[in-house]
Amino acid sequence: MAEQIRLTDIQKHFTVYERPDGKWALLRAAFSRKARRVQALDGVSFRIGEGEIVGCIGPNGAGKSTTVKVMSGILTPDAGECLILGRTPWKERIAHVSQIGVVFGQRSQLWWDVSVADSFALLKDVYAIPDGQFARRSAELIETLDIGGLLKTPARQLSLGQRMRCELAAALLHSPKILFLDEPTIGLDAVAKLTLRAFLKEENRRSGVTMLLTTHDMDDIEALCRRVIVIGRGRLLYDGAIAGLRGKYAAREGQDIDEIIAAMYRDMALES
Amino acid sequence: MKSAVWRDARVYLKYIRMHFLSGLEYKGWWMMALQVLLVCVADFLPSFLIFARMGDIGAWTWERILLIYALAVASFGLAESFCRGFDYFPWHMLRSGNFDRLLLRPRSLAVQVAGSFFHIHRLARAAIGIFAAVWALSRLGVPATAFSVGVIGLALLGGTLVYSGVFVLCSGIAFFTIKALDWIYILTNASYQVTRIPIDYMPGLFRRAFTFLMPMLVISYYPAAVVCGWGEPVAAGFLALPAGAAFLGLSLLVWKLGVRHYQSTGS
Repeated sequence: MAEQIRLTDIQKHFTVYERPDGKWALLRAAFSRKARRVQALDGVSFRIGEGEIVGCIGPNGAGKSTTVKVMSGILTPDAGECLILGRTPWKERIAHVSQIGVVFGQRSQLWWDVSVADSFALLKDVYAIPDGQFARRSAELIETLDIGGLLKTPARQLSLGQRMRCELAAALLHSPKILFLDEPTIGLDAVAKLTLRAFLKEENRRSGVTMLLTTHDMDDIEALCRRVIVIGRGRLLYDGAIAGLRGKYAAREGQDIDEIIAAMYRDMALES
Repeated sequence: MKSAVWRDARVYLKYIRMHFLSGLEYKGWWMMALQVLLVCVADFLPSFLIFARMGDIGAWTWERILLIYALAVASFGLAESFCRGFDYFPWHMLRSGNFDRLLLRPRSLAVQVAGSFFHIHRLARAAIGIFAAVWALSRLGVPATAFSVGVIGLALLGGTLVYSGVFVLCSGIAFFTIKALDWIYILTNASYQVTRIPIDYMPGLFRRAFTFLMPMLVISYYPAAVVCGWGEPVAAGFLALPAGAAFLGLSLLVWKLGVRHYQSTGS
């Protein structure tokens, strides 16, 4: 299994500005602001091989999205090494992004006012996909995601479930080798979630695309991933099979996975 | 390299075409065009009225002022039409976080931003500017020779680059601060008002600032002077394009610094 993603000791901090509080707070805020340093990633390292599906979990603000942003080339880390398919994302942005696909559950990559088909046609030009390949690939995705009936609809008129299926097709049109999914099932109903999981599994099996998904839905992880990464307070807390988590944190037999994760998060908070 | 530029151009044209077609679907577009048109006419009206009442100022007739002013307005209108994305960038791209998505696409960032918005009604400003310039030229008795058409064409091209540069500069600064952007209006809507001042009466500081810092006069007054024969050196009429390219180039450098800042600080 060839290695595709390698993160070594990635560090990233953000500066947040706080308002002073107390008397005349608003007035004082106009002249001075207090900078606070937040360590978003504090030495994250992991490797992912070709064709793996890895789930990434962690409490809100743990650094999951920052990790995805570093790997997709949106953010440059302060220190550490990140190699995706042998490239450093922020150094070779264009070569890098033509090999990856990114789906944000909370954001769309379809053009709001134009039909889904027109969005796909624009992406064809953006990624410079050859005609024949585009025809083959789009037909395939339209069929497996069952979005043939939505192609003429503008993105703004789609339901979230419909839009998500179109987002997936859009992210895979250029046949990326790696797909990053940042909370792809957020807000979806049960049927849409099941459809999405089935599709991701099938797509991984058929085209061997490597996937890394962040989520808060443990059912996503259980349905898709053999391997799970837990990030908390900017650190890698666990990397391995989901069964291992169960062994470590399940207080009693048959405990729900959400309870196990909650137990782990509590444990982390106690540790520090 | 060459094919990347070609692909960028192709993507840009596709974006503009898409915005144009979806803009046409909005039935009110011509009303908005009319509104822009009225604003442009109303803008120049005071100058015209003063000249009509007081008569010419030395060699300066209202046609002269109109010609210079129209060249600046047309350039602004063209840049506003074809570089609208940069004009909108600080508010509609940066603050919304949509810029992340552009970073994920394998095309030039500047091209993606430039093509991210296009509003049909903005063409009205460009159209009335060009119309007014042509009209003023004919009243000033300038024949449509290859020379005059060439100089005016280059002036518009250079002017479009200058104003695109202003929008790009503004977007570049927006990466660092949103708050300090209001003064940028000096370079946009206020800057072409300057061209209404007859250059002989323009304070030296203004004249130098709008020649060397922001080459406003290079894209309006000098080409007009050369075409009409107001005693400026002929070479000065051809500086619009290189000056515009230089201004846009420097602005793009600021923008690139901004992108790097964005990638290292996050939104």
